[in-house]
Amino acid sequence: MYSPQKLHPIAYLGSVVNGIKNLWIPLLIVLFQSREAIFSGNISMKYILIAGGVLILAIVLFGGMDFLNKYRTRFWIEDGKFIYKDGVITNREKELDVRRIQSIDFSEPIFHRLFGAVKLDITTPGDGIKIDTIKKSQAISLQDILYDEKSYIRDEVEAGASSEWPRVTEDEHGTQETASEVLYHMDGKSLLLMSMTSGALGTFLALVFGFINLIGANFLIERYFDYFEDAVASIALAIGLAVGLFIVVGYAIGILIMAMKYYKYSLEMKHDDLIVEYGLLEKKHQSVNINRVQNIIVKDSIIRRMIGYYSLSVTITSDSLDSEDIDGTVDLLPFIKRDRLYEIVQHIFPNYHVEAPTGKVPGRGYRRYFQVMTAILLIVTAVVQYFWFDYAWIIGLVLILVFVASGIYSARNSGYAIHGNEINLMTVGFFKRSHYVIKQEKLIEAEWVYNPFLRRDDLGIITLVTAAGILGSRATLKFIDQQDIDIIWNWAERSTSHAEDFSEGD
Amino acid sequence: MQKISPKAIKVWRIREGIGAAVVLLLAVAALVLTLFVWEAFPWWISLILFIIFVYIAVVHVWLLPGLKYKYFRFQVSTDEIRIHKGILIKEKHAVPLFRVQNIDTSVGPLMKRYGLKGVTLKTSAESIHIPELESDEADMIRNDIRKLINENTRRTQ
Repeated sequence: MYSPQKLHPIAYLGSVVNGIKNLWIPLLIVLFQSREAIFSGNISMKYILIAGGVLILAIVLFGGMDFLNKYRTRFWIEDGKFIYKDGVITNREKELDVRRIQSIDFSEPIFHRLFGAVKLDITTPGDGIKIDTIKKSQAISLQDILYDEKSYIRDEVEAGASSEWPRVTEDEHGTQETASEVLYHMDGKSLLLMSMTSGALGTFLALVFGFINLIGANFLIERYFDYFEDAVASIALAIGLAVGLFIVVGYAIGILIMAMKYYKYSLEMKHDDLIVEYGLLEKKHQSVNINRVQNIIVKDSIIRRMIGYYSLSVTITSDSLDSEDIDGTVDLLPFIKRDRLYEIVQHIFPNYHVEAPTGKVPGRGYRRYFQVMTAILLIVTAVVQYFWFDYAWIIGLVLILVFVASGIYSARNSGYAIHGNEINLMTVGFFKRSHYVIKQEKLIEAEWVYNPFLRRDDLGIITLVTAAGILGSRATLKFIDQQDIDIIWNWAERSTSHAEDFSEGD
Repeated sequence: MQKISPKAIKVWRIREGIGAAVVLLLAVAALVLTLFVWEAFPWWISLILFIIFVYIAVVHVWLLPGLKYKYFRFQVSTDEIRIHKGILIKEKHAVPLFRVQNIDTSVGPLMKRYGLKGVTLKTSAESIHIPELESDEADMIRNDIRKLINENTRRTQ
């Protein structure tokens, strides 16, 4: 790793595939335009040769640059820096300070796995590097070395290390020299439960409709319904059956997809890094540096809350546009019993006090959680009812009831709790709760919004922003009492404990 | 709490005025097109453009700049920056200074003519913009913030 390394040879195949991928839309148009010539049956040899030649030329043109670029790509570690070099005409060289690396991820899509290759994704608070297709052995040794370097460098005196922005709680864990420790391993039962309670049907529907849209086969759906209408006498029963079957099958397939995605989920801790591994077909491997964690989020949905399962994610900051997840959220534990989750959080982040806050929204704020949505629904329903569909009011009523219930659920659960320099915020979306735990020094901005109506009722909306990805992670508490806003605002204002420190220096 | 330069109102008015003039020009062009050149060109396009022009002229040129100026306030204290803004929907922002990563100033041709400067503070996620300050004041604020940040950083090392 200390000498320049090359990419996996299969990367070249990847660039050919990329070339074709870039070309497939023009290719489709050309094929469509010349469909008569092709289907007429008498294609001359000349035509095939010319067409093939043009195709190969295009692939070489589009893929060739990529090909050369991959040939010239080198990466290595030197002097506590990770260096990546590529470029055909213009040479690019990227250097990442190993100390600032906050996560090293690699994923193995099925195509890559056949050849023992992986995709590597390294992020720092600023830029990141993404390397497609390197050897798995390379990736693993790279990861090990980077971890070693990091723990080694951390012991040294950092001269002029002014660049470490989230520099708090730096030495809390540094001394733990345990090699690695498995914190959580998901068993089959949890995997199944998780797949069942997640939007499994939604996943399937998105996939199916995405696919149908892609190939433009709307007639498939019509045929599907036609088939049932032929088989069963009553039309209502036929449609009911068709929809029912579709939902059951979709749900089952959705569960299967989810189960495959999160197959063999495990969370490990190595020095200061948390490592997540999962996947059956496409293996994912993510790592997060504990000290780079900006905030902790505990999420649940109403169904999962009923059976007592929660999920844990953290956010890290990165300006890299290459990275797949720009929102900077890393899921650590997607599905785990509540008590176990708190135990693990306590173990990983001993300096955080995680406690679910109770509802803080006053009675007069409740209606505001659903009034806008209800008004919109009323108007839409009225219009649809009047012009198109006589039973629209039934659907409208059900939707309104659902949204009112969701609003009340949100209002009942939204709240906050402050423990010293730490705030626990519970924000609620559509029957989904997110519990943010934010340290004061990680806070980037506090934002307080009100309008005349809210003012009159002594209510307000407050948002706390922490760094995450490019956009930041925003936790918003809506329609809480002015007093509570003042408390949170003052807590946020008090921020920098160094404030007095430097005023006396002047 | 500090206010921005009162010249800002004028600059905003001119800036919006230019936009309005462009729309008016388009409206006239569309009208000419319908009347004299191309009969099939729908006449209501010029009407819509004219309505847009009236809207910009009344709201953005006449009403908003004064109100925007009246309700925009900011304060640079020793450890944070606060911004209050919003005419109907009020927003209050507070950004701890030690999270600020870079400070940019921006000057447009109009702003330069009136000796104004805008300051943008960037944190790792948000950016906070203080528009139309007096040039020297903007530089002063930038230097102050830079100094505060530097001191702050040095202290905590």
